[in-house]
Amino acid sequence: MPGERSLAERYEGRLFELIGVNTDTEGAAGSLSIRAGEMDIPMHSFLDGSTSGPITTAWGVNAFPTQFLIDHEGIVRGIDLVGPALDEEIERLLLLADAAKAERDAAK
Amino acid sequence: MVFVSTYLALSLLSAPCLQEGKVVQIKAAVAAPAVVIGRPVVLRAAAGGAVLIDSFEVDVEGSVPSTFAAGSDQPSPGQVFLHTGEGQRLRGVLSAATDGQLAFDSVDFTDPLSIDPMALESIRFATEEGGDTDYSGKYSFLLKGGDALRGRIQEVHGQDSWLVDLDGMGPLSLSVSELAAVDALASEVMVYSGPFGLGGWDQRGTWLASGPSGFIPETSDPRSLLKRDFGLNGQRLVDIELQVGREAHFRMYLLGQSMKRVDKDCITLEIWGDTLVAYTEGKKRIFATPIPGAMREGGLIVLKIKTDADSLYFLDDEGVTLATLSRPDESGPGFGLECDAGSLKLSSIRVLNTESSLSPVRLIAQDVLGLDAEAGVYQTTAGEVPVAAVLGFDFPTSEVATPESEPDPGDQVRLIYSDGRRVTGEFVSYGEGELTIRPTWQGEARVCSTSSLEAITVVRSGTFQRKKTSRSFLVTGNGEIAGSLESVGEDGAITWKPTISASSATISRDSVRRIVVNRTTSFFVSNKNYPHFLRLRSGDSFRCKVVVIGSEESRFATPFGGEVTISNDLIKAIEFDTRKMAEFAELFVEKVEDGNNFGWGNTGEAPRREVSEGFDAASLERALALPRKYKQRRFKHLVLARTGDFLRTNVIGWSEEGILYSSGLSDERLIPTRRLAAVVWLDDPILEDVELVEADLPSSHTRLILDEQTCLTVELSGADNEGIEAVSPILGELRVDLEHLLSIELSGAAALPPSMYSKWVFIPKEEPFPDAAQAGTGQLPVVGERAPAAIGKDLHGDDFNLASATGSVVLLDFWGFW
Repeated sequence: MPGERSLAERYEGRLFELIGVNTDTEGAAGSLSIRAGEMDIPMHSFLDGSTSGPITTAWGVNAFPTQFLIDHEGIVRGIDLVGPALDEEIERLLLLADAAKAERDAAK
Repeated sequence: MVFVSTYLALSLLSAPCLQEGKVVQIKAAVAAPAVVIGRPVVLRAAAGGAVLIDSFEVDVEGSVPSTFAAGSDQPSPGQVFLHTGEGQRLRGVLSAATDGQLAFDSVDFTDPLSIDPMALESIRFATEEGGDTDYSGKYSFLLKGGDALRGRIQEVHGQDSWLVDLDGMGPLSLSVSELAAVDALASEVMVYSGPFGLGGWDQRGTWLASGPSGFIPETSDPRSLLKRDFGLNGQRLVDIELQVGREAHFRMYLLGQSMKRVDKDCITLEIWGDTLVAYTEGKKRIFATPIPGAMREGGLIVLKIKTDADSLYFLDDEGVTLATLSRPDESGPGFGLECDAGSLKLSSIRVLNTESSLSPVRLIAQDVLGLDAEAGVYQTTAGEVPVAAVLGFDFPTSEVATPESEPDPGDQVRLIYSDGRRVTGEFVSYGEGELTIRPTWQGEARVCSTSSLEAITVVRSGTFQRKKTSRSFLVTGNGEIAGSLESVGEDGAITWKPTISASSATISRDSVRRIVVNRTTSFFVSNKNYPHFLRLRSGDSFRCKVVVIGSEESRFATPFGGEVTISNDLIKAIEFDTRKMAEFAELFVEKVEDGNNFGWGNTGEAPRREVSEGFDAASLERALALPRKYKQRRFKHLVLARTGDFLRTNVIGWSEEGILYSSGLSDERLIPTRRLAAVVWLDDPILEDVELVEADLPSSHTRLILDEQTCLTVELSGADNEGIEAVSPILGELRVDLEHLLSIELSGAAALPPSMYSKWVFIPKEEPFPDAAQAGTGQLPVVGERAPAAIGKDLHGDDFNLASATGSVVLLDFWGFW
């Protein structure tokens, strides 16, 4: 969670959203982690119920953790990027997102 | 005239007022035949060895130091503290009893309580602070053996030893290696001892290190020092009390043989909003617990960590164990601590005890053989004890093995002073106003003053385990007592049934600080049915659904029985997404303080959050202090964008499309709704045309706390074993099940004056959903293709759609604690 938190903080105020898909099983560890989630996990998370939950299955994810970087238009731009590669790609996509936003605003 | 009290544990205490020439009168008598010294104390041994006290009364005529006269933490002359296990305490006067029950007149309850003495842990009599109470220049020395001493540092001999003048004990050459911590009493500097020597922070967070002339500020980062074994490995375990800011993040290491082990066995404690979470490096959660009100002290959170040889115990401020973590194996690592001082805002770490406080420190079990009225002494198996020296009785709990033999001079004893000093050592002898002890940290016997001595305990082996509590507590200024709420009278008086008392008693609501309810089920209000959150100026807050926001008053659906209409003047904020609000509030403060980030279109990088202060009324007030050049303008509103930009404006119109505003920077403009985070109605002194309205608040501040966020100001109107009946000036008549209550604050913090608030009204986040994503195929998405849809519930149980983030760059993280 510290990694995610620092990521969320780094891009705070930008057009960046950290979204989670929680794959904990209801019951053992899951219920408590979910309770924690009610409070302030640094990202808004889906509750998928298990590592074979509907979203996880539909996305074909079977290794954890897996992270998808998705741009402002909903296109997958990277999978499991880490470190400087992740940061660079996020910065690049943010520029595009900011430009698109400026365009939309101008159209109004 | 012999009575045997196998289970009577007598702690021998001195009466400081006697030695100072003040009059102490003790009623003493032993049941048939009674022996009277001054006035009688009645002790009776019952068959089977259990001690029953028929009556017990002590009059101590002496002045109570003014420093304590106003406080409720010290009993007045004649009063006693009844202690039960689990930290319960009652203050009052013992009076005669029947059938083996103590009659006790609590200072809080209006009815006498009938208490089974076997439910008690101890009875403590009034003590008087001895010596001067001027702490300037004095330090509290915590030794590694657990002793606590107090005095002045007279000379510093290099890095190795100090000559200190100890209160009540005289000069001593103190080896620095014996020290666990030094606490400067007046300047509130906390200093720690570790392998790196002594050092610490003052309250402003300045790192200080020890030096020949005292404590010298250094620029070196204490974190690098603390990262090294904080003196806690192996058997060197400590109990620590952490007081941390609201945004805390610190790590505790299980110190291993190698660094690899350290990485693997790291525990991180974080405070996420109102939750304290501890997890290992592998994200294995140890515990996640709401932070109870008791753990909060001002802006700080108090977490106690205790250790024994095998486990770490996390306790809240009331001593309730939150979690236990066992040490991996016998030969394995100990526990260390690293504090990330950057985000921690650590104000103190107190090394409370280098021994396990869960390990036995139990009291003398001394059989009282008789009472010699002429000589004024108890005859005990350990010799004669002056009656005047007896100030309390400690009752052993059944978990403690009854000692086989009487204690002898030479036993390990611990002196406990009422000001917190502790001295452990080998007991030698009593004297006039003093006693002799051979401290563990010094070979020679020392004479210790008995002034303000509260207890002498004998250190014995054995296991003492506190019982886990699962009860409600009534908290007054004089202590707290477990029990159950029976009723609330029309005048607000509360009837409470203490678990240790045979009878219930009435207590004035003015005497009660709070009732902590043992909640079995959580209070839960659906985010779906009540998506909004209302904060009132009175301090009340609860989930709701906005029906209408009018110009004068607004209407809300509440989970407490239908719709209510609330004057806008009473409203502090309507929140639509509390997490987002907090983020924006923080951005807001920093940006205003920058003073140069005005205007739209600033999409540059948002300021990093470096100040971890909460967003409180004071900082809001600061935030609203505009740079001078803007002060001439009279803007009624502050518009916050989702990017964190903000603008002072006058809002002219309002529609589904957005908000029409005018400002000094531009002509009339429309801000689209989806870009809006909030519109703030300014209650700013510079805005003379905005009138502050005194909120119509109830004069009393009884608060029902249902969960960490839901708080209702009410007048109590009744109660039974199932629930509370109350009248809220906002919501009308309420009934709340006890099982849904976290606590009842009967004289909670008064509401802040309305001038401290602005009116905040937040616009819900709305985002367009341009292209509907297709459902996933079960194959891992390919880079460059459209991401599959992700639609489901979030952790709150609310509907959640990945498409809501369209327009932003998204990092979708499949995660879990597993």
